[in-house]
Amino acid sequence: MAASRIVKTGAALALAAAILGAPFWWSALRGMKQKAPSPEKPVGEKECVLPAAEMRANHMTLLFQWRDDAVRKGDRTPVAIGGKKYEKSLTGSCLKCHNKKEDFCDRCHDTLASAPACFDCHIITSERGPWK
Amino acid sequence: MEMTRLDFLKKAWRTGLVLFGGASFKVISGSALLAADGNTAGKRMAMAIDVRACMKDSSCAKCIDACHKGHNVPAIPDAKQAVIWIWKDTIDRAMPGVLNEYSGGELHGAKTPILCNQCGNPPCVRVCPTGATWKREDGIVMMDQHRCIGCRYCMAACPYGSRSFNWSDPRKHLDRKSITRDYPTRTKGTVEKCEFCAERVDRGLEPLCAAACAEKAISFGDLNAAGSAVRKALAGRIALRRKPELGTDPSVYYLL
Amino acid sequence: MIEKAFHGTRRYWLLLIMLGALIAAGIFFYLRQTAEGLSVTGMSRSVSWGLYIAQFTFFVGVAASAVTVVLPYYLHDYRAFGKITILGEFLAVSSVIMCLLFIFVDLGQPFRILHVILYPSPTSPMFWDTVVLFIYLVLNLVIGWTVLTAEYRGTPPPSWVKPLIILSIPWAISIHTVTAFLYAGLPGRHLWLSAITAARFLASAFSSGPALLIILCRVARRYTDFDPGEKPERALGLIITYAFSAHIFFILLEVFTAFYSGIPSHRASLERLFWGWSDPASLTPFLWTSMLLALIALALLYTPARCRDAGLLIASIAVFASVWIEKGLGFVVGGFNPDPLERLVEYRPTAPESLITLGVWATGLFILALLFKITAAVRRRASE
Repeated sequence: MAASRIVKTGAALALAAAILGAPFWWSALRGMKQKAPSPEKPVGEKECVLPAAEMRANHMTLLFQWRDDAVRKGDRTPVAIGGKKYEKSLTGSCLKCHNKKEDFCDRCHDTLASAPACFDCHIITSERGPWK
Repeated sequence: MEMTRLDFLKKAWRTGLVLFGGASFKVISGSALLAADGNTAGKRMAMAIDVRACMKDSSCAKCIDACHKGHNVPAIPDAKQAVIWIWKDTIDRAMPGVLNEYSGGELHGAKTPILCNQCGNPPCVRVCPTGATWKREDGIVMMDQHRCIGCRYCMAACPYGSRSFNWSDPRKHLDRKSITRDYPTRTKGTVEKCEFCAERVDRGLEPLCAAACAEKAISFGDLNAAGSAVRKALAGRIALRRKPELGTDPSVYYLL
Repeated sequence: MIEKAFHGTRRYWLLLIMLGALIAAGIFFYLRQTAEGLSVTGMSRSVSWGLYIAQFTFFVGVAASAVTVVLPYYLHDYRAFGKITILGEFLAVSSVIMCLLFIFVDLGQPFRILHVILYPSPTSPMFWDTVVLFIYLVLNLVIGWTVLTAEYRGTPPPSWVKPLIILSIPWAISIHTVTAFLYAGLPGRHLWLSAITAARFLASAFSSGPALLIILCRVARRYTDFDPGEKPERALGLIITYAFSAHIFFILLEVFTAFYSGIPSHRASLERLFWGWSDPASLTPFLWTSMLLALIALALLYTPARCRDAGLLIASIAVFASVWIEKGLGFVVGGFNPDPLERLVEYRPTAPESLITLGVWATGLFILALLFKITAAVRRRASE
């Protein structure tokens, strides 16, 4: 009968939604909240190259731009942002202040399950690794 | 030619700045040979290695130590998978056929530093499928560690054996306490080689190997600049390059 | 049509399971290689290409050999090849997939492989090889599948397939020429730096490929009801004879130039290959085995044994093995010794390297088994 087919389809869809949506309703039921990542800001510096919100969203693009300028075009002229001059260098600019990977970089990266390959080569203090 | 007072003042000011700037630069760095103007156009960076000066101390490895320490080059225990940017080898191996049983004297068995020749016509650059290696305007053959896919075609193409591959994670063979923090390491799976210390050349400094040599056997500079150290070293002495018949136009000269 | 791959005898499923196990082992060791780096292989700073690239080079040849059945049938109406052109095309598909896999497992940074496409380098033969191989794969897949679908439906193939088939003929030549160009333009590698390298590659491809096709046809005849008859195999036997003779002739030409000129750089690698008995990890025993196999093959191919089942099969196996050794180990690995500083550096594949290679072979065979199964099922249905 048409009605029982509708009921069966509806039941199947509801079951699928329940299974697929399990991560959401399960954590809601148990009161699990996503804790916002809390990167520890470096001591002594008040501001970064760009405002924090902008850096959070765009630091990857900025670094890629700096990388291509410095490495591929050989253009290492310091860039002036907000009245200050910065070397186009991850190691030379960013990592001078942000020198604790576990306390800063990893906080957001781990939350987002992102593992940028940058740290495979660019050296940051206090990083645990396969060092000898 | 007519010159206004303003023109004269401008020219004098610029000349004075260059002279003063050059002199003060020398005071700061102690080993400057180049104008740190970041301008690579029209230059051809080259190196002249005085083999007889180097030979004086056969056990010396100052150039190798300076380079490998300054660039975090790992010390791989398995020699077959070594990563080396500069090393010492005999003339017979570097330039086969130059010496024979009747000529060469004390050059037989003498070792000389071997490094990337930064060829004017580099086969490695031609074959790279991703553009991870390229020749700069000033002739330095660069590596982009972000681009390299580790296919090792450049290693097959290099006629001199100048390139090394990271068969394993180089950090396993680097002592964390003695690394140079301002220079990155590399990671497994990419090719690396000497880049004539391009990062130092861009700041008007000479390469670490040249600076470290106690005998001043390594001269470095712009081949196109008549007064440069490398031109001075080449003047009046016969210099050979490795395998010139291959058309690679190497930039490293060996003064025998 | 794909569902035909899921219906088979127990022997068929046993084959797939065995191949699946080899593939799984290959993946396991590949994951280890990804974690530890290529140090798990036997390659070194001096011998920087080994088994993976040697296999890649060999199987590009097998892929190109599809042209030996496609050209006579489609350009010269050689009817006898009617039943096996599709096998040639599917062998090409399987071989190209193996080639791409061999490149992938050889890369130090495999997940950057798209850099080859994102940052094209027109001066690099490797860039062009990637492009032409990929197009060749698509060509053969489309052609094979379309023609098979037409057989399945009992209709003639659509007319747009014909220009693609004609295109695949020069394309097959081009893939192996570009692969030869990987080697033949390198100024420092004198074993490879020869005009005849590309011609050698093609000759060896057109002998080893059809040889493999004959072996596969025999296997199919034994275990399935597929039987193209004697005529195609006889014709393939002739092609193998001429191509293999050319291949051996070209090797002798190389030997002449190297040794008669006496130029050390010209001679050195060839001398190490054929007279390096006391070298570390010497390849000399392998090379002479290859030459012995070649002698056996030629002896069979130039006699009436070529026209007999057993003789042709033994000759095919001998040709395939001979070319596999000479092209893989001899040419690719041998080109790195002596190294640019005149040293001899040994190369032996390690266990992980060999198992990853085995895994890639198993993948190729797996795909081939599926495609041949579908073809056999379609043919059986069509004849009912």
